[in-house]
Amino acid sequence: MKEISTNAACLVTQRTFRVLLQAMSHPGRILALPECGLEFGWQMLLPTLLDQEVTFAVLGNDRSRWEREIRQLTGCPEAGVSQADFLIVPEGDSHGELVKAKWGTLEYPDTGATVIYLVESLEAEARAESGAVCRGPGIRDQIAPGIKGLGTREFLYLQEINREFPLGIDGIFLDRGNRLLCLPRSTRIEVR
Amino acid sequence: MGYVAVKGGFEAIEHASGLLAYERRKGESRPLEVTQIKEQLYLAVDRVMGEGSIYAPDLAALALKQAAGDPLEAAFMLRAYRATKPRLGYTEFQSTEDMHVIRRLSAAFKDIPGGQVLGATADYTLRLLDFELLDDSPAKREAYLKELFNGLREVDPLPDSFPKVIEVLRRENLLVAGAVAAGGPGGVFDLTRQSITYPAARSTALQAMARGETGGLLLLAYSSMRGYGDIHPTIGELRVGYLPVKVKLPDGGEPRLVGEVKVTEAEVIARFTSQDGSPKFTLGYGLCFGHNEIKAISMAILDRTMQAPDPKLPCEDQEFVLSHIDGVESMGFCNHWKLPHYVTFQSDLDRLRKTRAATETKAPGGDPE
Amino acid sequence: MKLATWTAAAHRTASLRYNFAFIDEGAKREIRRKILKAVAIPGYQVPFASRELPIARGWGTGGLQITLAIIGPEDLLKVIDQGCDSSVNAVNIKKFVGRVTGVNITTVTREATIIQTRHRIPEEKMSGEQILVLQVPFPEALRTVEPSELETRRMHAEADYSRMWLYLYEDVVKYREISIGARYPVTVNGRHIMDPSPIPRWDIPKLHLAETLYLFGAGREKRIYAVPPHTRVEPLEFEDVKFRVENFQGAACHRCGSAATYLDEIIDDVSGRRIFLCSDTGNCDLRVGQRQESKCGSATPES
Repeated sequence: MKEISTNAACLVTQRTFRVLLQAMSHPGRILALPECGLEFGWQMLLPTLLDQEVTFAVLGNDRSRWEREIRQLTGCPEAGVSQADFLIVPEGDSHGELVKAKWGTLEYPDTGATVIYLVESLEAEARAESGAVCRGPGIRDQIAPGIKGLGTREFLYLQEINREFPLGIDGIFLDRGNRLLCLPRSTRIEVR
Repeated sequence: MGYVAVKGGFEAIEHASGLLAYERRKGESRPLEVTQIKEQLYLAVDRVMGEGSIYAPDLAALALKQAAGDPLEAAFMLRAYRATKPRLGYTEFQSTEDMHVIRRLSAAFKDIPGGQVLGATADYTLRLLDFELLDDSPAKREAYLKELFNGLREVDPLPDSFPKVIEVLRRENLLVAGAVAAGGPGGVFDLTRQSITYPAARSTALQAMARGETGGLLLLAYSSMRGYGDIHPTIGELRVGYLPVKVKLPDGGEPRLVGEVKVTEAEVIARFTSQDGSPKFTLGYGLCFGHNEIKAISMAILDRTMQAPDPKLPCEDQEFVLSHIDGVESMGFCNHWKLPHYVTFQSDLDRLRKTRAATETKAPGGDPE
Repeated sequence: MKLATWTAAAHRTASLRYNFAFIDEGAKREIRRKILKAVAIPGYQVPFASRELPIARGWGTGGLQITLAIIGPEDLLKVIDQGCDSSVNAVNIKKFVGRVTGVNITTVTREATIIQTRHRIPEEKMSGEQILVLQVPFPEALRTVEPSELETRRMHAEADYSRMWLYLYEDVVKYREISIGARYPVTVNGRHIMDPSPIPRWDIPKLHLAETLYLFGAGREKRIYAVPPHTRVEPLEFEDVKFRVENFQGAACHRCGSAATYLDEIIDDVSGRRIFLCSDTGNCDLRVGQRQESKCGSATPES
């Protein structure tokens, strides 16, 4: 016991990761990030995943501000959209750029990128006119989450890209209430 | 009700570890000082630093003491320790031309610019046990040193640096140009941050060998020398010395010298190969921590054999070589067979009994299949 | 839990030798990233750096790195080897994790939040709130038919599993049965063939459409893979030669009487005869406890 160093930051990332892991294992399920006094959920989420061993790219407008913030927060270097390991989409809309991201190779599909969308709000049940029905590993039968503030074509992009499973891109969605949900590439998305 | 369930596993392993610690201390000899190991068993310390993949002579000496001299265990302790240390930064690339040489030779040429510097080596000793060493003492040591330095002739100091022998070949355009390393930040693959994928870049292979187990590397290199390979090596240059270590600090400015590390470097010239018309020599390279010539030479030979364009033999198969040279991995796995395997064995027993029953029910003497 | 509460709970005495859970934050982040990729591609082996630990390679460093990367102070950890809580490997690992995290340890399966295991899956069904971390010596199911990693990568890439099927077929021709005991190959999510680690065939059905998340760590071979909940895990079999679990020929546990659990066969050194005991000691304790309760507990007969 005397030998252990515990600083609060490492416990924040541990708790955040457990939520992420639950979310990735149960796609479509909405989970709350832990309470820890930080203003924005991405301030917990990004340091949990990003560091100087990987790369990121910001998709959308107001890039330079986000790039600077993320670099300072995580030490993660930037890369072009087709090389970046993590794609951050602060406005919930990649404007079609998502399709240029890394899908991985058949020998190493894990090198496919992870996309993190910052959205308005996550709802357990999608309203009839929007959303998508999701099936696959981690989902008992099916689930149809609603994501407000997500670009109208994003689900279509993910659906198309992840048809090439095991190639693909894995999605994380974080809303203003610091709740998140995940859609790994194994999830079969059926856009309504 | 003869059987009693096995209990006390926790206590048993505590006692086993305690007994190990006791074995080392039960005698009447004086406790070993870490400085004694560092100074008088320095070659063991050098080997363990290399295989432990961390340059820390005091810690290597401590590990050897704790491991009662087992170099695999000692290297393992250093690796585990190394894994706890955070990465602060990267050193600057360093040319070994700047090495403060304590030994340097070439087998390719009789005489070389700067000369053959034999340094301290066992190469020419007669391997006769010296029974005088049974009766050692500080007084004897003092007397020996006094006599050694008494009336010793002054000679010119060694030059600060020596030119590289292979530069001679390079200048004459006789050496195949080396491939540029590809990889992560800094352009070099980092084996301690990513796992190997095949085919591996040359920097990956060299890193894996630099922390490889000396005996394992020697085994594979020996197989090549003996005939399971055809590179016909000649040592272009072997160097042992102290390499400066420089880092750039966050405040900018010129890179600063932070210390030096003792390393052994071997450059092996291999059979010539035709490239773009003109025949050339190829180079095998080896570098490791501490004074460990066997390892550096073996590394250099394997570096070359793994570049074979059409791998057929074990030492040419990059995946075979790199998968089997890590001492910590191989020793761990070898030891793991001592762990209980009774559940899997039970499963195998069940299968064996079932398949035996199946074959025994076949018609006797007949063999329709 | 507020930040302040965490800080207070994390206050330890002066000496700062090791980071929480021993490995540094960079190492944890890499393992965490790889775990997420493994969950996203069920049954596929994700390469990872795999740091050295004070416990030897081949002794569970892969499973251990996963546990250390996911564990927090509030977790309740159970560690078993061959199903047994007090087996040497389990005890060693528990000692280490306890020392570098301060977490509480349990032997009760349903109480644990994280269970690290070598070569068995607990008898009791685990929930969606629990995680099972399995120690893996050989992550590559195809290694039996192909020694080269380069080649097995290609086979998985192209879903070219013909050589594995041929190997099983040849088994059937020779022995009229598939003779593989533990490490029985399975197809995950209808796509990747996976090595479930040397668990007995008895435990294979527990992987299929389960509630819990299974994480697999191979430290020496440097691979992480996963089976998420509600995922198909199907043992390789032929239409006319089906997968079968072990058959104990009607034997029952000498201690708790169970004939529905995986049994260890022991030679009684007094009488020389064979007796059987539950491999899962935690589960055996539970059954013995229940039997005792029903014996000296209620007056009304149990249903």
